[in-house]
Amino acid sequence: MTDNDKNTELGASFTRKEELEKTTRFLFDCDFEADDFDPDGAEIHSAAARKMRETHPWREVYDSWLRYLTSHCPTASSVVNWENLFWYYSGMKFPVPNPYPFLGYLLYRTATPEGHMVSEEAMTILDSIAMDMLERIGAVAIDTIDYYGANTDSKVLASAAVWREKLGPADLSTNGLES
Amino acid sequence: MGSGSSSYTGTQGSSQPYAESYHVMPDMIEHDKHDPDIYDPQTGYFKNPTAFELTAASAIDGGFSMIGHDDKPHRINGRITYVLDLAGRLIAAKRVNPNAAGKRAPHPTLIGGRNPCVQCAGMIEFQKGKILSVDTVSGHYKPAKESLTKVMAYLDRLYATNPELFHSDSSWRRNDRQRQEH
Repeated sequence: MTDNDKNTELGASFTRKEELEKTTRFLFDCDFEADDFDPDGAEIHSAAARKMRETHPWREVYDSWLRYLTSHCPTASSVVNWENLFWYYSGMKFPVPNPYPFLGYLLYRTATPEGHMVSEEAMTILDSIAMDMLERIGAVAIDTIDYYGANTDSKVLASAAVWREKLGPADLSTNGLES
Repeated sequence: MGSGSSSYTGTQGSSQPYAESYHVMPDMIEHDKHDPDIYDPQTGYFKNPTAFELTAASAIDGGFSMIGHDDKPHRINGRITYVLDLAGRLIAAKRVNPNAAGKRAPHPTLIGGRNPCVQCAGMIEFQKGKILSVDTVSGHYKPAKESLTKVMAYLDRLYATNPELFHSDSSWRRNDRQRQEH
């Protein structure tokens, strides 16, 4: 491969990554609760997410979405908004082999160190994401799922503690979305 | 009749043989009797205050919502519990336990009482207030998969009343598109 070929390949790779990040910003720079977000018959964000999942390796999409989470969601309410969008875009279907670091991060950002969730909405959406991902890897089964709570799951709590140790106390404010 | 039969004890992890209705699994109710946040010795399972009947009339602006901590309606987004009760009503609710923040409200609390009986139970998945899918994942009832046909029949009727209550990726809307294409 010539130097020109290598540069062209690098350039194409950079462009593809930039496009991925641009689409991720389009998907997540949204207020899930807003009346004008993806109204019936005009679900442009849902369609864009589907296309993104279909045209890129799932790992690239997942990593891009997580980069947005960790760099553009400063408060608990913005994390809950991100979680709702993640669910809406079917991110919980990604075959993540070990979802505990991800779930632990979400818990760290939306619960106290003792595991008290900032809101019922935060509890419902995190439980939903956790149950889906953990069922897929066999970590939650029908005998235990009825009582399952991400904020009482010892492995998720342990992961949240690691994040808290690494990043410091989280901003648990719930006063609407903040950019 | 399902877990009402004293001779059947079931197998951990598996569903029960098909029955017209199911009582709570004996091991589950025994577990819950030791937890006052879930089961009262006099009255049985508490009634989940967020329980609502899934009908076209309970939907708002083409989707299902529930009141949030800010006293405002929020489109249901995620998995919540449901039961099909003996009267054929589809009851759904958040899993939040009002008695203890760290606990959840299991399926029998959608009806309440000492040993509430259901035709089916599981989880229903919503995306932005619209029904996406339904299953029989319930450790308290473990209904046979065949019982899901009754829930599907209920949702088929709901779909006929208002297709907008179903997500475009749901089997109902996809089947409709396929029929129209042919």
